[in-house]
Amino acid sequence: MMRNASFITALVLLVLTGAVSSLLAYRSVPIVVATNLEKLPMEIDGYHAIEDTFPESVYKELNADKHLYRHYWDADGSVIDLYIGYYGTAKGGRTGHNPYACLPGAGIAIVEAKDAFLPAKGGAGRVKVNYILARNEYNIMMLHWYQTAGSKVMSSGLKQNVERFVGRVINNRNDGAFVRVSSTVSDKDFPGGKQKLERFAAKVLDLLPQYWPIER
Amino acid sequence: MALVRNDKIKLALLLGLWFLVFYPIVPEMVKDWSDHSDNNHGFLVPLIAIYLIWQKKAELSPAEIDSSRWGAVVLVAGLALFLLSFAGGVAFPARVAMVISLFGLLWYCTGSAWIRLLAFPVLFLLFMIPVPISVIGLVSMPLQLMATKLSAKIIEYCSIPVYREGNMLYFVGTQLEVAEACSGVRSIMSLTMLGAIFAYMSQASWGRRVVLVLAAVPIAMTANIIRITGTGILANFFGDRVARGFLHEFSGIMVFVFGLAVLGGLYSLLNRKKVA
Repeated sequence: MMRNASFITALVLLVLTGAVSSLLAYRSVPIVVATNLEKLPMEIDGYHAIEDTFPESVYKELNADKHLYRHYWDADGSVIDLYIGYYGTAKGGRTGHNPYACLPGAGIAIVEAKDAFLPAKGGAGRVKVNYILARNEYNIMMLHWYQTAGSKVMSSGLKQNVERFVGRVINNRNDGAFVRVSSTVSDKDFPGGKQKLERFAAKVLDLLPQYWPIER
Repeated sequence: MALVRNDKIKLALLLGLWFLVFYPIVPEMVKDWSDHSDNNHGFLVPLIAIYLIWQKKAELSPAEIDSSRWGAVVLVAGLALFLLSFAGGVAFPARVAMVISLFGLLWYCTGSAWIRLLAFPVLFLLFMIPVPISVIGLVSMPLQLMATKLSAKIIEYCSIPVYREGNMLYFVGTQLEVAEACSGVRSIMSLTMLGAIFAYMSQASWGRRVVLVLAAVPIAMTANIIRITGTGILANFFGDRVARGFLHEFSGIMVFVFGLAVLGGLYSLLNRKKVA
């Protein structure tokens, strides 16, 4: 025969869990009320931007709340591409895609992948991001990272997941963005190309918290 | 002491309450089952679990009902994980917590003799949980790429000129995209599920049962490569319409039947050796 103590304890535990989860269900899921990212300066570090778009099928696949895709040109004609995919709390805060899987899938070989370090805002230490050198008909140099809660920068999706989880439990908000800064570089100037890219990415890192979308 | 009428009422009440507590996460999971072909097998899992429990009816009836402290620990851990995941807005651990809680609840309230009989059917419910999209994204692309590369090699061995770029196969008169749905993830998941059932039914040693479950992965991958290669060869001769029409769907079913047959053969082989 089932013990009464076990039955009552299990009953109480289930009722309590049900009550707490019902209370939690009353918390509203914030929605994006101002995307803001489009206000990111068109002029960064001497580079001037022109807007671009991906094919609709790509946007459909990425399913973000806001995409920003720009080509920043400097006076010498060199170009740095900036892509930001922002996912609000209602969309789960992070993209399911990542360059390590998507580049080879598109027939672009990853030649080198390692950590890169950018100066943190206000010169307070360094921030770890991801560096990729890929190649199809050109050399493509890329820095990318995940950003959450406006200013928190993470190099891996796993760290972003943890950060998002904590953000949702404590602040009921777990929006995030995937940020990619890339350019094509010649075989002869990898160090110079990387330096330019890192300087530009550091500026983006500095600016992004000010233009972070608003959720309510 | 075995199950009496009063126990049946208590058990039914607890199970009903368990379902009510977890109901908020059920509709979204069912939507995932129907929305994505990789998760379609989710509809079958609860039915199979119920059937497996039903099969144990004769053994359960006389089994002694007891209580287990470890069951209480598992129940509390499952419920705590559920609340945390629910608050954190993460579906996967909340779904895992649903199964863990059921396991803990049954263990706590019915004891070790019952849970020994119910462990597999209850834990089998884990197969109904869709694999997170982020994990699928990480796994499916390399699998897709590997399947495309190997298929291209096999097609070349058949003296058919083919050029591969990423997941695209270019033939003389046509081209073929090996889409995410062709990564083989779906076959891996469904065949692993079937491998687990075979292992459960098997009388072989634990080691052989594990082999049976793990074998589902290479079998599914091989079947998928055969399908892509076959589609590529047919596309080369008859155009890319074979990759979209009835033949493509039919080849999917045939490849699954092939995988199931190989798995069934392995099951027979492993069991036969045990008897010998």
